[in-house]
Amino acid sequence: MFSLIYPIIRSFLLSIAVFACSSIVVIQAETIVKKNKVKDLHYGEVLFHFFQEDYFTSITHLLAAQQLNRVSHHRPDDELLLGGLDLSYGMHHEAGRIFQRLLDESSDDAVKNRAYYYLAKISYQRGYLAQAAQFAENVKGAVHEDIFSEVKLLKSQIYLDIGQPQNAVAVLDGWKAPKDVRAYALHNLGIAHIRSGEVEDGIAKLKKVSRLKVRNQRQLTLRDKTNLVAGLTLIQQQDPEKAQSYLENIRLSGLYSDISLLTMGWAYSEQGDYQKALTPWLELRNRRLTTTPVQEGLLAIAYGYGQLGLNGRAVKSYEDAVHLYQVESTRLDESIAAIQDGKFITALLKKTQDEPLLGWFWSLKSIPAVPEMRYLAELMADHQFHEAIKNFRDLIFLQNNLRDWLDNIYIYNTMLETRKVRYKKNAPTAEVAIKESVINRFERKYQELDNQFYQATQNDDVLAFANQDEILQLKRIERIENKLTKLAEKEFPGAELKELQTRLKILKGRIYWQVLQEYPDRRWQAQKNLNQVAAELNNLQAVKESIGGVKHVAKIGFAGFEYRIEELRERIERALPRLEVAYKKQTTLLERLAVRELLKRRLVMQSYHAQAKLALAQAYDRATLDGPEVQE
Amino acid sequence: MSGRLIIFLMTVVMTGLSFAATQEDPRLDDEFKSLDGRVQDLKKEVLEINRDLYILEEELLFPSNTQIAVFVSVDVGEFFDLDSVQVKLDDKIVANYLYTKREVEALHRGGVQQLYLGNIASGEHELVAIFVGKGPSGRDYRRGANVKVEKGLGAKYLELKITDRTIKKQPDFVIKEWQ
Repeated sequence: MFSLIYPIIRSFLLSIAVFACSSIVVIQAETIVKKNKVKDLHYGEVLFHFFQEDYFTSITHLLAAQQLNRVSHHRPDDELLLGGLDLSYGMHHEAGRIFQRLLDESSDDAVKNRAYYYLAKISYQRGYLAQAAQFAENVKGAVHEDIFSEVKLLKSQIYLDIGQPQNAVAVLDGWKAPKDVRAYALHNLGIAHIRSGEVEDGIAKLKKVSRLKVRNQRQLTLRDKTNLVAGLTLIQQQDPEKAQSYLENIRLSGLYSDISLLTMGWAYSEQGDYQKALTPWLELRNRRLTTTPVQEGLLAIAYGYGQLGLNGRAVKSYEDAVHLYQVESTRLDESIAAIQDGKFITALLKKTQDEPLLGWFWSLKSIPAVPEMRYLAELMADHQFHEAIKNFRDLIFLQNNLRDWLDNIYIYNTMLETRKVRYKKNAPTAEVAIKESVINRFERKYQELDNQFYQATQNDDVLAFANQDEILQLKRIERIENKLTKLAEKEFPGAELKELQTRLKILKGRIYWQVLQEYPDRRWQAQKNLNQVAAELNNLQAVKESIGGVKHVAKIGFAGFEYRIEELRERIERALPRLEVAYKKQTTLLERLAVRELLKRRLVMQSYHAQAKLALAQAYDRATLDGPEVQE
Repeated sequence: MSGRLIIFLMTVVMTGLSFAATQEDPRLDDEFKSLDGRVQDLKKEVLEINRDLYILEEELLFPSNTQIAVFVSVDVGEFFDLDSVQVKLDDKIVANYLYTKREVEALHRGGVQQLYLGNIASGEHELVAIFVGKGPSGRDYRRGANVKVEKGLGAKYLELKITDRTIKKQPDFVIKEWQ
């Protein structure tokens, strides 16, 4: 019986090995961004959009920040980030150029390792496996912890894909993977062992995966996948009983539920228990007929009844299968015709309008049951179709983006006009305020005061720090002294004169003493005032330069802005028709890819139909020979 | 009909399929690659146009001599679950932002949000930020922080930081001025 199911198992084992840890193909943000503090706010701002998977905005803002020299503290991480963003946005060529440039220009091993890692990833995504292996091999020495796990998983994946499972074992064996990737590592290691012929070791690793704590949907799906691989392998190893224990752990509503039900039936069937085999197969009959396991399940049911000797039921099941394959073939024809009529693209466009947010095409649950959309979920499993639909979505976004800019770019001209008007109104007033002569006068006065201060402090001229009242009093004393001197010349009575002169000296002395007492404070205050004046003068100079700058910008800036606006308008107008051509080609390509996939499915369906009809004829013969069926 | 026959036919069908597919594949695959390359070039071109428009817009609307930008960041943030932030500049509300779960997650992972970009005159200004969310033990939490800023000739960048005071098990709100 083993040979009966061997081709199915083999094809599934191969496909599972290929997609062993396909989740790592998705760019993990943390592998691009080093876990260190943001040193430039604008770098953090780019990350804010990146972490929300808004790649277009993050690339735009990063390009602008680099041009405005706002991320200089993050060099060369900004380039690594840009490369990673380009990769996430499907720009493999540009990402490759960036990483290659980093390799050429950097002597830092950490930077080189990251660049090699991403180049390996790009090559892997594009199917250049030998090149991917070479790049991955170049990741050497102390690999940064952020990418260490990713490098290990990528290497193992590449080795599995190029048929070197022993090397994949060497990469993963003995590695204590961190919690978040442990399941992936064990899963791949299990497959690597199995493909190296070490089935027992492989199953042991896969068993470990099913025992790990599951935290999210992705890990649940991985656990299902692991159990399926283990189950299929054990059936292949002619141990269907043990296989059951793995297959039973697969969820009935997950991605692998259909194939697990089919396989579970085969596991019972391998043990000769057709009654039990029918339970999962009959469950499949209630599911969507668009998947291969459900389609194959119809034949399996009839086969099971046949093996139980229930020929009447076998005949009925074959009749049902013939009918359902016919119905499905007709549906496929309808879908192909609808796609060729352009209805598929119309439906996709409607979906973009209804669900304009990023990732709209992932919400497959809400797909309308119209012929043109019926197989979208199945089509998405095809890598080329998946990539083509992403490009289709991106081209719509790019066209809308440029059309919006084109519609609104006139606003900038309006703003520029407003600024010109405001400038014309305010410029004369500002120019008066910053007249050279005014500033020069202030500066001369400051110099004069500064000299006086210097002289006074050098010569300990205490009275230079007298206040206004004291100066007035000193002046009055001086005037009186002068008068007294004149009176002395006119032989004014000596005694009275002397007394007056003595009193004046005392007064003068008191003022001097008063100033001397406050000299340190007054000197400090004078110095402080001079510093303030100097600061204000500097500020005035800066304002003058700023206004001068505005004048300069006004002279060449207005014209500069006008030129830039016009140049950008022209660039948009040049790009839009090319985008439209690319979009039309993309829609045609998308339709052709969809039709190609559905034609393949129709061929399979026709084959099932033929098989069912042939088997039905044989079942009729058996039923006739055996007589009426005894109902159990 | 035996299971063996089913599978035998299946194998024949699959072989035939792959043969049929390989007959058409090279042309369609080449077209796919060529168009993908063209789409990549167009993406690059549109991104560069957007970069230049972004810079033009900022230089035209928010020249550096009057520009003020307010950013929000979260450092650890275990004791505060952010709902919204309001920013007042000189007693006038200039920003009121309600966060989505996705945005809060991006902040926790190290992203920095540019909450407000505007213009102010040279001189002294006061900025007040009010943070609303859930504090320790899931209780409603509303806290403010303020700062006096001196606007000079260059662009002024302020960062509203939500941090943790581990010892007190309380969130802290700091406004940092960047040079």
